[in-house]
Amino acid sequence: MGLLSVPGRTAALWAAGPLTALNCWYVYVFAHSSATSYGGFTTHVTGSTLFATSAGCAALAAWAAGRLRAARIWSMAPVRGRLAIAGSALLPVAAVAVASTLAACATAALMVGAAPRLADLPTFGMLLSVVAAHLVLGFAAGSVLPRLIACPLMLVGVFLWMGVPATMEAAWVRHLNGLLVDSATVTDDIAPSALIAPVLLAGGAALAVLVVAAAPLRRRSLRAALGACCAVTGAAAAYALVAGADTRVPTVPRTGAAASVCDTAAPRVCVPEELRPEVPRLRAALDEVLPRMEAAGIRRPTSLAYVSDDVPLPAGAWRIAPAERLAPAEARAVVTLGPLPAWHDCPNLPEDGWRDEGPVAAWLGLAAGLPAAELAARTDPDSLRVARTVRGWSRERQRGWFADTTRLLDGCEPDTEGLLAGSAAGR
Amino acid sequence: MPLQFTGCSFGYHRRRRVLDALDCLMPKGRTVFLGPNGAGKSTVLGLAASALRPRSGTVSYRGIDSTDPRSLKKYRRRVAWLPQDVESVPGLTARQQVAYVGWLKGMSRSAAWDESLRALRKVELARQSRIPVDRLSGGQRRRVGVAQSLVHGAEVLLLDEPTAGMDPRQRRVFHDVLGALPASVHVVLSTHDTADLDTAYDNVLVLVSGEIVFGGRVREFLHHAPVGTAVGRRAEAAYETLTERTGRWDS
Repeated sequence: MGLLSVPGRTAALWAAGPLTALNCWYVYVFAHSSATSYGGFTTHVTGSTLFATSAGCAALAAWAAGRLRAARIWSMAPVRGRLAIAGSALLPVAAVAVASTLAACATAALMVGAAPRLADLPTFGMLLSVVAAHLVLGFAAGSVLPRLIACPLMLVGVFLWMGVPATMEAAWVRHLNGLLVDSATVTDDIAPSALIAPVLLAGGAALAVLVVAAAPLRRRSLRAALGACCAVTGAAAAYALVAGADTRVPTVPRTGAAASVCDTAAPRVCVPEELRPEVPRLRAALDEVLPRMEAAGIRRPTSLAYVSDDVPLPAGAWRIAPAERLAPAEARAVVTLGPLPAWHDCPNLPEDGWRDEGPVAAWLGLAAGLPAAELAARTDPDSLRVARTVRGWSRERQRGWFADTTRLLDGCEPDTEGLLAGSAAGR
Repeated sequence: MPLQFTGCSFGYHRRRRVLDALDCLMPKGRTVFLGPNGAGKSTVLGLAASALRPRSGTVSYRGIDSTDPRSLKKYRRRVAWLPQDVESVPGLTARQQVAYVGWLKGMSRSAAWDESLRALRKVELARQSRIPVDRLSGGQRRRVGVAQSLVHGAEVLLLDEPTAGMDPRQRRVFHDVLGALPASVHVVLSTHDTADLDTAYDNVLVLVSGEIVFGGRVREFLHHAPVGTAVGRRAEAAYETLTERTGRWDS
């Protein structure tokens, strides 16, 4: 590392091992049962170590600053500027942050079975920016407080900042610290607002510190005022970006050629590039169940597509949600649920008042001719009972029941189950 | 040497000034800076080093104004300062500490590393270069501080009680180091030790309560000793005379 970083090196050297090991262990536990081999999930798992990296490196930065403070470096009339001196002290801490993050990423890639994508670079940029801002804040704390106070203060304080917002009623707060609670998926990328907001907040605070410490303004009150402006502006801008967010990380539909690849047979089956191996399995399931579904009165689809829920499909298209490495029974289940309306937020329903697709899903399974064992495995007995009753009706009546039911589901009817059951009982 | 104070005022607290419109020209060569405790010697040296900023007035060296942010770095490259209380970065060895200060003073990394050992050799600490400063004795730490002030080849050395804590042999080594410095390097040194004043130094400044009560050659300073004073006590007697005249022993 060299002479420049000597003041920061000692603490960073002995902390590098434990921090890296902690990150790798956390990733191992977090991703241990992952069923997704997707680069976006690898990035998400890597990002989950942000709490440890930020807290640990902020404490290390405070320690490095404390050593300089103990040596009264700032009053030694140095030629080097404050930023250069601080930068040299923080260089090894920054190296520890990068190394521990890369180690976490490598572990995550091994566990998940996929490397991060180019599209994940903004997420990594956000993570490292947030860590860098915490380094600055930790250094500032260590410069004004005794080391034995600053270090635990930063360690615990940053840890709480990373953990507590997820427990708060105000959902928008959890999108400010950079700890993403959801990952990018094969159909959705993390929205830019979710990446920019933490950078604005942490960056504004760090810039405030830098302005107060090193702005070329003689009057301290002026520097303090300017610093406060930076912090407030960053916080306000961050809030504006996530004020309307709910508990889930804001996402945007994935775009680009890899977002959707289709086969050529009719109806087309379109999936993201990562699920291309599933197309033959889905095609086989479709060929098997579609004739029976058509016989039950379900209209033949123009295509089957796995895309973001926020992307409207053309009329006549079915929305599917396959996983990787589909077994034949799973492929059939995916296809038979295609005619159901896309899931969307129902603000009128309480969190536990989930719209009940049970009876209509069971009816689709019966119409598709799925084996009884498969149906029993994925359907509750009450729903199956309703579905069998409906299957005893005329073809026209079944079609009418299906159309009414899907309309109710799409319209966020709160008592779908009751209406379905009543309808099946002939009321 | 044109290290000049012009109308310099300074105070650590708003209501109490340590220096009030001080005008002073620090002479060339080796200057000893005397004064009672609390006279303001450390403050003057701190201002001269630009570690402190005057409330009003200027401190300049060869026309380079230390109070002007645009020329501050240029000023600091030329001036080295050994404060009264020297601390080191915890955990650094003697060589690392000296090299780090060299880097702080604008040297490149490699030059600072090379020069650090030379500076430690000058103060006879080369063998202790790998020992953490925290584990050195008080006198050795002081010598590390002296090495810090020598490492970057400054034109002016401001030394605040450099021999405090040193034994007689170490003081002799220190004086040898000063004697070996080129004539182009100007030294201002505050001390309570007036022994060898007439042989080791060229000039004397006496500060009492923030005012320069004497500034001139050693010979002129010694004239202030009462007639008949023993040769070995002349410096002490001259100092007592000057400070008695102002009626201020301890500020």
